[in-house]
Amino acid sequence: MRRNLSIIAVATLAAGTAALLPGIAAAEYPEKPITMLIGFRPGGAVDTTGRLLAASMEKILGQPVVGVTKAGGGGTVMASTLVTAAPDGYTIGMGASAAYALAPQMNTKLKFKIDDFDHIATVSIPQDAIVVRTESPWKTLDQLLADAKAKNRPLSFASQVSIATLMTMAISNKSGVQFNVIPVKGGAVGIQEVLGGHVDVTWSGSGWHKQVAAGTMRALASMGPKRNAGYPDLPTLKELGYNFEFVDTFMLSAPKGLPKEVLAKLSEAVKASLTPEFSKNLLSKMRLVTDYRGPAETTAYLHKQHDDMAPLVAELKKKQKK
Amino acid sequence: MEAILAGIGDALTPINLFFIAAGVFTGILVGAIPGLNAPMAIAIAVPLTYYMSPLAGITFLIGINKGGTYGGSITAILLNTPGSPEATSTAFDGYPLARKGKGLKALKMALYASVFGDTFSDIVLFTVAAPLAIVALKMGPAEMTAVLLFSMTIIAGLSGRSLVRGLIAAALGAFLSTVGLDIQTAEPRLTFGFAELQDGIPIIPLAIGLLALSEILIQIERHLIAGGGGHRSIDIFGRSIPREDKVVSWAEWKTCFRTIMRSSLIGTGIGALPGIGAIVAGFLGYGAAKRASKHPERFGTGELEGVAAAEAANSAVTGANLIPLLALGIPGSLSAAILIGAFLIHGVDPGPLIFKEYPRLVYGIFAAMAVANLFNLVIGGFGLRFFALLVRFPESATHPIIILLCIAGAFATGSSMFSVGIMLVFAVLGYFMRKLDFSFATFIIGFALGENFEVFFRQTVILFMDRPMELFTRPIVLALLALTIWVLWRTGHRRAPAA
Repeated sequence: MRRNLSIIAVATLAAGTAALLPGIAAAEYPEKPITMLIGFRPGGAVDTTGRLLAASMEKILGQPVVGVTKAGGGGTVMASTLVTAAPDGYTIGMGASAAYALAPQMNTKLKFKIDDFDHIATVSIPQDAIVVRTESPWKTLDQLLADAKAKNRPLSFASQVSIATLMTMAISNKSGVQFNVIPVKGGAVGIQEVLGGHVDVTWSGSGWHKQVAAGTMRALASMGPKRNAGYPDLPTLKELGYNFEFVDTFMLSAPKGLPKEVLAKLSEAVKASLTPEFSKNLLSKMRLVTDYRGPAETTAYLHKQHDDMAPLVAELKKKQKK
Repeated sequence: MEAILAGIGDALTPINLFFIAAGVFTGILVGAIPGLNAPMAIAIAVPLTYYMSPLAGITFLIGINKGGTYGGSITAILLNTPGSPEATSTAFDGYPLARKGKGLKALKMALYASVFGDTFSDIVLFTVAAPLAIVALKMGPAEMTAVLLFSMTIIAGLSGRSLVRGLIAAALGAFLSTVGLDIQTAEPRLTFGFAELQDGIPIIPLAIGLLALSEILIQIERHLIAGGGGHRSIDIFGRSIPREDKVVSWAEWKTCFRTIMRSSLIGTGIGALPGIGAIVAGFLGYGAAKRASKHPERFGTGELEGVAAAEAANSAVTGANLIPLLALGIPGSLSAAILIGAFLIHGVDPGPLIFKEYPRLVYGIFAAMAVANLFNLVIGGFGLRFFALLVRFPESATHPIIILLCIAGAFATGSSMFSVGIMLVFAVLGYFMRKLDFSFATFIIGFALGENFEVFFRQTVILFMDRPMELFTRPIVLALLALTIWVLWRTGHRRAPAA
């Protein structure tokens, strides 16, 4: 009996210590440099956001935050790597929402889902728009679609990721106009094809702003949920009656199982980093709007994006089978 | 005019001159070291430029790019291990020259040709960037498919002794370029479940393994077979070597001039078109020189013209690469894409408005580029003396260092052991290709052109699906197809009597 008691005592003590340990670790976190995996190529919008964020978080956390490029597959290469990392807060990943909310639906071979991560914070959102070249006769999206319909010809649409396949499908469903999606690598190539007059329409995240400013391109619609503050006259697709909105939101994530305190500390660090000066910088340099959202909100947003896209993905898969 | 003068003045301040020189020096260094290369160094250096003025930061990065294109030729000539993939074609004649004791001559020719090609390309950028960018825009998917088709005809000239083997190697390269996400359906192809392969087989570890490490394996083997003693590398400064083998004479410069001009034009053209790249430009320049030569059989055995052709072409890509970047805001290469990021960090948005909004900066960059070419010549000239000492080290010292650098370089490209694995696989493949006389040059061409050829071809098919005859109303497509057929006919004609 006595022996049993002592075992219980030891066990209780051990359990108590174990429960305390993460608390102690968190109190000291971070005690070594943090690795930030970046899911896109150097020089792009995600990379720039990530590196500026890392520089700012470094000052707040008091430990170096080292950016490491893990580009490829629209952010899925980074996510596949991040999901296998230790959930200790020393490996975090800067990526974009499509990799978590959309890619696993489109490509069932990917070995991760939204909830395999602790999403730390939403950092910024790009301002996507559908654009044509200025020499084209189309002034609005409706004009473009009506013209295609009258001439009974498909529109060519240069697009960089699978997201545009879904978007053109949503537009086709309502207007009856068919699209030939020309696959391109990167929004810049799409812009080039449209500028050269080889392709009718494209969409882009940030590159279109300078073309519109220079008078070489015309924006027809904004793809996000809200109007673009810099172009208040530009309607959103939703407003035009097309059931589609998608913004590839840039976010910071970590593998599932991060100690609560570490998660809180990291999301606080992101929040503190996004000063008005930081936002102004990001808007003027990269045409990105900063938009801080905490862990719960970010995860909920990913699920919303997932569910919004699910019917379109199902429809697309049905079509591809035929 | 005022902006031009102000820009030139900005570029010539001591601090900016210092950063240009530092960039060129860094570029030559990373270019020369197998495993490290200019795009990698630029990506690493971008965060460093946060703390510099826009002009200093951007010219520092452009300096790295410029130095890198020459640097690659140093190890290509001296050790037959191209420091960067675009110097592959420089090694064809550079290394045989070095083995003959004419390494210094080859290095100098490479430097002069490189700086000439680069300067030529810069002048084109300074003067006709805007009109040339408009012409480049006219090159749609159909035209680009025709350009790539034409580029593939150089396979014939680079196949070595057996055209069939050259074609097999090229086909293998093209096949491996299909690994990765399908561009249209986003379905992974041939990735065997590796997420790392979704973006395709990364070209840098592939090139390091195939071009550098496999050659080291061959050299080590040669060393072992020779029983420890082996062949001793040649002291290219040795007194026993006559002076004419150490310098490029006026007569040689004159015979190579036509080749250098031709290669500069080819390189500039390739640079202005996004999606082809300096590796292919080097091969194209080399192939064209060989085709035009009165004694093509001498190419590959240590022909100075071959070194000049390859270096002028691959360096001429650098300046022209900035044409689509500055005139349209569209990057033409990986380095240019990283440069866009650097411009943006400094609050400058490269695009149609850059000449209007930041004229002083643009002309500052132009002036800095001209200065960088000059520095490339000077630093490169001194540097080659320093690098040439490399070959005086015993191979037992250089080989382990190069192997280590190859591994480190492969690791750095993907930050993972996976890329190191890829490098090792291709080192073994390269070893057997060299042993069995399969041209690794045609393999690289197949690989480098394959991916873009597929993309452009599929784009063309989708675009012209419902009106295929319209393809034959496009003059550029027709001209390029005619040129392709003419080259193929000539190749067949030349080979037939010989066989």
